[in-house]
Amino acid sequence: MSTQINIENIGGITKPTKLTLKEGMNVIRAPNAVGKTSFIRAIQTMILPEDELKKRTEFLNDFATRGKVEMVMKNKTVYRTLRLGAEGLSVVGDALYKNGWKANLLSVAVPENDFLDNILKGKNLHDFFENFSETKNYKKLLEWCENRHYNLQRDLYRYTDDVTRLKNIRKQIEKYTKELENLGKERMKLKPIVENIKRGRVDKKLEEVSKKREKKNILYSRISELNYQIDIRKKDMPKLEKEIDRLDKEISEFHKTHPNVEKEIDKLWDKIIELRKVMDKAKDEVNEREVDISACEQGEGNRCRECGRPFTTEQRRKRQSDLRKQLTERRKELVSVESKIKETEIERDALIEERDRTLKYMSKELNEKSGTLTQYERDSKAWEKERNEKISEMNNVEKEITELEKALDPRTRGILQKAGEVESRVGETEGRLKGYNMEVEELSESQKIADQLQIKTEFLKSTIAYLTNRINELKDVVRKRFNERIKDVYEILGFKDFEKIEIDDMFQLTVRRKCGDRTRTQEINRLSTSERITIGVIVMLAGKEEYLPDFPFFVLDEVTTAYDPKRFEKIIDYLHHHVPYVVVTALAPTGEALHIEHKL
Amino acid sequence: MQDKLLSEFERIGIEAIKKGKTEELDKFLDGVVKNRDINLKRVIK
Repeated sequence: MSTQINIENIGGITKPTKLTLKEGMNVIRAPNAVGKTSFIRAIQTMILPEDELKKRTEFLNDFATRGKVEMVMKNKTVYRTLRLGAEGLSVVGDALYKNGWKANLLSVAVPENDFLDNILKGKNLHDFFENFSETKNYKKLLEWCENRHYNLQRDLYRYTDDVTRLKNIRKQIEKYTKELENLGKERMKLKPIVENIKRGRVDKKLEEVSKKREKKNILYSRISELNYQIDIRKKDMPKLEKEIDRLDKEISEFHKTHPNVEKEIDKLWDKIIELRKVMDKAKDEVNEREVDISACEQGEGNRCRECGRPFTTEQRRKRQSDLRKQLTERRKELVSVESKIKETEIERDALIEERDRTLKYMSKELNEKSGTLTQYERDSKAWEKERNEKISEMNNVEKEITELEKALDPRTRGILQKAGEVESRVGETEGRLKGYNMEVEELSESQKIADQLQIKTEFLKSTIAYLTNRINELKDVVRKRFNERIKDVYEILGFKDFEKIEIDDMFQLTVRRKCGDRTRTQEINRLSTSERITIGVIVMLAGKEEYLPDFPFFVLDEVTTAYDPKRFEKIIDYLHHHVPYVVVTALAPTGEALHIEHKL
Repeated sequence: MQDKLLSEFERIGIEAIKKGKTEELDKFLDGVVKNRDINLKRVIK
């Protein structure tokens, strides 16, 4: 079985090149700067996921705007095209393998491989394992929970005052309800005595006193209620005034900073329109240069526009070089204009948002709060007026009672006075309770919302702990399985240098080495370069076994294999038995083209 | 019960994140408020 690879304009390979990989060992032999690295890049072009590939502008030949890799296999042909345009590098065609990110990290042993590089430098591998364990979604979910928890706690904080107030009121209600109960008992004791007095002496004056007392109690109860309502308003009004003041200041400040905001926004719009015109012009110029270069490469337009004579080779090269310089300049201009447009758009959007926030929402809030304050002032005035009227009315009733009671005998007067006092206190307490209950009604909605927020924040708190734990568990499972694979690969390879190679629970690669009778744990960066490279490739092989058992390629760069040829012979032998296509680059002293040696 | 609820949140949460529909997570939280023992499958339609 074989796979044909057609390459054009990838790295240093400019001319359409056909190479065939056969099952088994494929040694790419060539001198330096002939295209060995470019060949590996062609394989990576087929492997990497699109978003990753778009960042690899170095994969495309420096002087080309379009490059292509095609793989012709037994059952199918797949291809990928890279194109450099005004928006950067674009990719057409699907990746060869769905898990290209892992395939590139675990099957392409080149110095640019981040995973291998981190191993060689003894760096922590935590971030890679986070991706291997696919905890990305867990992390996103955790992030969502943390953000929501923060927002809900902030919302909950807004209700803290109300909830505390409600708690205090409930305590007061409890206190006054008890007091009312005691007063009720006292009233029950006095009731038969008062009734006996009434029965024994059908006295018009006594009846009148009772009626007046009842009236006084009603007045007293209403006065208490009004006092309570006035007190609440007195507490609320300064807060409201402060809020109004703040809003007023912010709006005035905005007017001072932006005396003519609409004109300012219009100016920014005009600037964007102007910049867009410049951008369109720059885009046209980029396209023109691209067309010119492409025509020039295909041999068109290689004549002098004035005299019509064909250009000499030197003139043609100069023309191509001039056109490329112009293209680079235009692209720079284009990028600069695009960034200016973005900046101006951000400035415009920020100003519009500030205008809306200040002039629409803040003004609306200011009007609403001012309206509420006016209503509060009106209410307070009306309540104070009513309270003063009721106080004066109650004083008159009290005077009348005193006058009437003078005519009664002292004992009867004493009992009736006591009964009257009890009734007054009952009225006062009932008035207070009525006021408290009114406020409880107002605040209970806040309490309901606060309760809901509390349940949510508590649940999210447990969720955050749970997810953090799950993420660690998942990463640990992956780490342990990875270590088992390392052990398997190492045993098959039959190396004896180390007792154990493992990724520890802090995701640091360590080795255990026997030293006489003792065993020592060593960090990777304490080992020799050849040992580190060997271990790096073993870890890659373990990862490939774990995640990509069916991925048909493994690529080894000569820089990797050159350090320890003896050990790499064994590794290559291992690969030979485990991977269908093994690609190894090797330096040849002479030659002008890439040459593949196949070994079964 | 709390453990069951958390693992249900994990399952639904990962699905919602994959689909990019985080509003489903808010629905779940409303469900927690409504009734801690509710059958959450009914809350997340």
